[in-house]
Amino acid sequence: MRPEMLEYQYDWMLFSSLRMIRKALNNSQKELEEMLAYMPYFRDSVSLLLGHGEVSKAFIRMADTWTDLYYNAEKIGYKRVMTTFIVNPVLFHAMRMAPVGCELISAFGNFFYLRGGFDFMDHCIAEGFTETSCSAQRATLGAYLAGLAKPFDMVVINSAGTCDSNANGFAFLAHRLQKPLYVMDYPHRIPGEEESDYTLKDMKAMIAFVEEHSGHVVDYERLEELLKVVGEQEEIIVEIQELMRVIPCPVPALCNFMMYLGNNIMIGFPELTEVLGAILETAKRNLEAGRAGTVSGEERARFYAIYTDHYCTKLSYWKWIEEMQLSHLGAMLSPTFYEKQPYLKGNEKMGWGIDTSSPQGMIRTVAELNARQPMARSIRGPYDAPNQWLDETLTMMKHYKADFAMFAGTYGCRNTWSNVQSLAKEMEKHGYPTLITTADALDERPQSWMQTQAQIEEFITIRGIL
Amino acid sequence: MSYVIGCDVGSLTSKAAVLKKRRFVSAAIIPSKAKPEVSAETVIKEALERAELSLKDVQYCVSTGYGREKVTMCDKTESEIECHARAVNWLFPSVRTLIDIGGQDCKAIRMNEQGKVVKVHANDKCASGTGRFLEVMASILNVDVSELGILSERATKKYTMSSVCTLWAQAEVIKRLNSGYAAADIAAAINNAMAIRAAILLNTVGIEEDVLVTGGVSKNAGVRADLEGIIGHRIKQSRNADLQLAGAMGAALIAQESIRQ
Repeated sequence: MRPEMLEYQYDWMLFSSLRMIRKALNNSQKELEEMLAYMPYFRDSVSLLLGHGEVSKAFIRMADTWTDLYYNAEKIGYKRVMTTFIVNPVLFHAMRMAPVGCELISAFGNFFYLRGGFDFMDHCIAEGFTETSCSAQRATLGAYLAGLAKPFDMVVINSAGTCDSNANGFAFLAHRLQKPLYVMDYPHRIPGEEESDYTLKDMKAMIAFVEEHSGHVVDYERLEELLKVVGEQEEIIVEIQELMRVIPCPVPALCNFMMYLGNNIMIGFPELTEVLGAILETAKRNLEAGRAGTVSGEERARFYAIYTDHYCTKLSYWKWIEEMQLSHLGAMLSPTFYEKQPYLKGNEKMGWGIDTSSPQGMIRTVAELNARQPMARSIRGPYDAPNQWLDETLTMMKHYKADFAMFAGTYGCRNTWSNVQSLAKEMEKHGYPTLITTADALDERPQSWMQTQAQIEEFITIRGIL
Repeated sequence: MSYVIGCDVGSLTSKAAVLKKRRFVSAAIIPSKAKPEVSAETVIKEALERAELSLKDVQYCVSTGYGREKVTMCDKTESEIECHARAVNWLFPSVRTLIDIGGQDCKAIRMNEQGKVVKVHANDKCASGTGRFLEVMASILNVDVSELGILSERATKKYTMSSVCTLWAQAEVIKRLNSGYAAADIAAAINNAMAIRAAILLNTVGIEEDVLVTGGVSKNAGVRADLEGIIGHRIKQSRNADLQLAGAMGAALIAQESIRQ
């Protein structure tokens, strides 16, 4: 690794960058602009993140609280659990465990480092991890393998079967750093009573594992408090996502990113409620003014990201969406399948609700929530529910009146690469132009953002979308 | 009959080195031809002619490189890894880590004090991180591959470009050229992409000083400088020896040892 990369801890860099930005939130515009001049490496990311008024401020406060929580975990009596975005972290917070969201930290590395997380990704390969595995874990794994982050106590994932490449990455890390690993399992399909019981048992086994290796038990009062806030947050999400059905869509593209990211890192925390509230207010204002959520207020086309978005350096993808006057209708990471979501009509059993009446009810709530996390609910291979991804995507395309669909992922994602061509063919049969980008969502070295941008623009031009 | 010869038939270039009593008397480098045996015959002939010698003066021949099995006049074949390590240990006994960046592969090699190879790691990404990558990019920039290093010295801006797939990198270079990027800046990005790939391999085997680059890319100052920056170690340079000839030189040294045995 470059010697200069060893000078600063990776987690400290992210924490201190966000802390610095948070401190500047109340500065005047002129002061902010002067501050940006001193951020040659991540000026573009910061200026874009700060470009959405109250939403930006709330988002920075939330992201800062998140990094503070996992960076300074021991100061508040927490321990750290390395985990994936497929695991919902709400239970960890009730066990005084700070979730280290591996893929999310990788994405933040891309936004805040000169060369993104590439140096750490390469270090990970030099340590023996395969380059053809998922890039979403690689930067964070590289930093931890280089000893550039505070140690975690255990690894908890649920990606085996959902994404074996993901699971292998965590298994590699756990093995190399000699940390205990727990892999949650999933039944063939959701919903169903038998499946629900299976998931509940597994969740209980996971709790026992965390208790054994941390000495921390579930604080049910805290869990109840968190789940009640989750309920409030889900209500706001329903409202925001319903506004996204309006043409033009009044929700800014970046708000979608902030929303699903927040729902993964700070679910149950008031900081996320603030973000969601600010997004809702922005969307309502735009709606009243008849404006789209784009910078110009115009909407030229609407698209749905059928997997992830693109998390390249400088947040260039999001800037491009705004400049192209495209409405972003969410990604596979966006739907929560909360019981009040209108897209559940006709498929109500797929929804989940909040039960805080008893410890058993709360654990079942968390188990149901976990079973509906992105990928866990939709991409588990063809063997058990062959159309789960297609059904979900078609539902969302129709619900949000999308003009086209776009796939971005990472080459390591065997579960999507193996069948995305079939998915795209089916989508086309249903009249939805579907682009499979050849970009790696977290590593620009295989295909630069410049090339990816050209690929998308060519597609939407040729297909007559714009 | 006291001369020995080492012949390295590579994918892009073929090299031959003529040795007499541990002194190199001549060498030659030619672009490889379609048939490895023709490449070998041609380059050996050229190297011998430069020393005013002929085949009857050659006592022993060792061949290496991807076309080594096709060299009709050779007495023995040897792996490129062994040949590079042998030459480097002979030229620079202090070197412990070397990277041979050849036309179609790239290998990081770590050696012990006796020059014995203790760890090797080769690239696994088709043409990326190889001389072929640079050759393709140079042709798009309309310069000779040997000029990439010099051209990159005039760069004023730095950016990261595709380093995993040569075809995508090629498309990116074309796109950047069409977008008005300076050729020097593109050349620097190409060299940097190359250095990134090489650094991964070096880090995989573990870097121990001194470090050396062999193969044709050793002549590219841009790649060398970027590589130094990434790995944080100075790369040893040779004032006299042409390190593109390392494989052939190592083969010649092995040939001489074979006679003694």
